[in-house]
Amino acid sequence: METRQANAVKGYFGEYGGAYLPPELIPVMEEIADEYETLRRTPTFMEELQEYYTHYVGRPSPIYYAGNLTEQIGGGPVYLKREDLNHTGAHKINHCLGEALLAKHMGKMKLIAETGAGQHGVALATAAALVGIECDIYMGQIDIEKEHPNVSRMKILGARVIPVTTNTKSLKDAVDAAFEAYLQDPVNQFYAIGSVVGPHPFPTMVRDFQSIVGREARSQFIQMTGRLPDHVLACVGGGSNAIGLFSGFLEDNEVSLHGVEPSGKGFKDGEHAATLTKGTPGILHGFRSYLLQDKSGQPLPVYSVASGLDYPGVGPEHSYLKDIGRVKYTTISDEEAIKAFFALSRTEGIIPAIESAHAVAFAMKLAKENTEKTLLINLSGRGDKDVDFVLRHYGKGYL
Amino acid sequence: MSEKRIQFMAHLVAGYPDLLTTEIMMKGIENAGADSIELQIPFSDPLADGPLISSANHQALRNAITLKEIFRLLDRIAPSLPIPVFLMTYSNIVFQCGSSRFCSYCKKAGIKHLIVPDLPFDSKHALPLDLLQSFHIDLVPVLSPSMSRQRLDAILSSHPRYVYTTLKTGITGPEEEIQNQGFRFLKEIREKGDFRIIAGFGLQSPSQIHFLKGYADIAVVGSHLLRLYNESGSDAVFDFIRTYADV
Repeated sequence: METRQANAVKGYFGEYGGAYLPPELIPVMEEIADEYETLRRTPTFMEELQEYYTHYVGRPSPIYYAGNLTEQIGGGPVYLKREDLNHTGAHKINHCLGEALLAKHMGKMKLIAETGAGQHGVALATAAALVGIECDIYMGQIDIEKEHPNVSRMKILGARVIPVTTNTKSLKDAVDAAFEAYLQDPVNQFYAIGSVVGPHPFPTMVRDFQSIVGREARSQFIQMTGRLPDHVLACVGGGSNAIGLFSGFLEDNEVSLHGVEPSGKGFKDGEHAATLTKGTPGILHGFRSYLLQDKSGQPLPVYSVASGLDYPGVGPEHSYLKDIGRVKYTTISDEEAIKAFFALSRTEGIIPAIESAHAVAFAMKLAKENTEKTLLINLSGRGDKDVDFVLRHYGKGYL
Repeated sequence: MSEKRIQFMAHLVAGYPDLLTTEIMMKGIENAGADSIELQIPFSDPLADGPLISSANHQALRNAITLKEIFRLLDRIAPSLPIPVFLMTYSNIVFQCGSSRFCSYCKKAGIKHLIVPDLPFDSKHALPLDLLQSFHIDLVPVLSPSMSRQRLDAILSSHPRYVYTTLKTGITGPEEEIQNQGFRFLKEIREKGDFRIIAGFGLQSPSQIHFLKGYADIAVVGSHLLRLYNESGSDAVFDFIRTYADV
C-alpha cells in the first residue's frame, strides 16, 4: 500500500490537497512548510513537544475497555481511546501545541485561527498562553451564541474572540475571515488551521502532530489484548482526530478503518455535512478535496447537531483514502448520535462530545453485527460543552 | 488618448446587486471612458478579495445568480462592447463547469482574457495551455511582490501578454514604504520583458493612478468603485471614471 508515500509530492494525496492560493499566500505557506520540515527533524523541537505531551497534556491517554457498553450492546468488545482526558478535553491540543511551538520558533507575534464549536479555539488559546504569543480567534456569530462557555474560556485564556457576521455567520465564513486577516499581515501572524484541511503543509503537518494518537493506540491495544483491533472508528468533520488514529493502522491491512460523517437530519441539501458520502471533488479554502457543492461550484450550506463536524469540505487525505478504498466512510444521524451520547454517559459514566458520539453510535451498530470482532473508537473529546444544549433539545425522552 | 495616460480597468462583480445593474454598469463604464472591464464571476469564498468585494460576491449569490445567466448576458453585450472584458473567477467555478466547457463559453461570448487568482501554474489541476490556445484565451497570471523570484521567472518565461499584480501583503510599515515596495516590483517586472502590466494597488483617486505612469500600463480600480456605488449609486462610478478619462 502506498498510503505513506501519497503526499511525497508537495502536499498532494493522489489528486487531492495542494495549495490553490492567491500568489501572496504561496510564499507564506512555503515558509511554514520549509520551517516545519526542518523542525520536525530537529531533536530539540520534537523533545520539547513530547515534554508538553507528557507533562502538560497528560499523554499517553489511556485505552479503556467499555465493558458495560459492550454488555448493553451484546456484541463485540468496544474500546475507547480516551482523548477526552487530555488537557482542554479533546484531541485538538495535540496539533495546537505543535502549531504554537512552530509559530514561536518562526518568530511570529500572533496566532490566528477559525473555530466552529470553539474546541480548536480553546486549545489554541491554551497553547498561545503557554508559549506566550497573542491569539485572535475568528468565530461565527451563530456559534458564539451557541457555544458560550467556550467563548468565555478563550477570553479567560487571554485570546481575542472576533465575531464573524458575514454570510452564514458560521465555520466556513470564520475560515474566510481568518484568511482575510492573515492576508493583511502574513509576516507577523501565523494562521493555525484547526484541522487536516487547508493548503499544504497543514493537512500533512496537523496529521503528523495528531499521529501520536495512532502510535500510542496501536501499541496500547496490542499490550492490552495481544493483538490488533478488527475495527477502528472515528468521527470525521475536517478529519483531524480520525487521521490521527487511522495513521497508526494504515499499514495494517487486516484492520478495517471507518470514518463516521454526520447525516444530520437527513440527506437533503443543507441538512447534513456528509462530505465524503455525498460530495464531489472541488477546490475550497486553498485545497482540493471532496466538497459539498452545487452544480455551479458554490459550497452548499451544511448542518450537524455537532458544530465541530459542520464543514462542507474534508481533509484531502481522507478523500484519497476513500478513493483507494482503505477507509470506509459512513454516516450517523443527529438522533443516533444523541442516543449514543446518552448510552455512553449512562453505561460508563463518560459524557462524550456530540462529535465523538457519532463514532460511538456507529460502533454500537457494528459491534452488534460483529460479535467476535474488537472495536476501537477515538473518543476525541468530552461532552461538557454540549450538556446544556443536549438537555434543552433532547432531554425530554431521557429524563 | 490611451498613449497619454494609463489605461483604466473597472472591476465589477457580476450580479451585484443584480444582473440588470451589471449590464447598465458595463455599458456606462465604457461610455464614461474606461478602457477595459474586469468582470468577476461571484464565488462564496473569494480568498484573494477584501471584505467589500467579498460581500458583493455574497450578495450576488444570495440572488441565486448562475454562471449560465452571466454568460447569457455576456453573449448579448460583450461582442458589441468596444472595450475588452477580462473575466475573473476562482478555480472551483471553472473546474466545476469543466475547463473546456468554460473556455467554450468564453469563446462564444468573445472573452479573450481570463484571471484565476487561486490557480498557481504548477498545480496538479491547472488549465492546460493547449486548451486555452485552442479557444484563443489568454490566461493572465497574477503576481505578487512577495513571491519567490524563481516562481516569478517561471511564470514570465511563458511570455504572457498581460500580467496582473495586486498589492496587499506586508502592510506593516508606512504607506510610502508599501508603495515603494510595489513600485520596485513593477519596475522589476518591466525590466524582465514586454508585458502589459495591470496593477491593482487599492487605488482611490485619479492622482494615484497617474502616479503609476511609467510603471504600469493598466490601473484596475475595484473596491473604490464598489464603495462609490454603495454610497452614491452608479452615476458616482461613471463620474469618477470620466474625471480620470477626460484628463
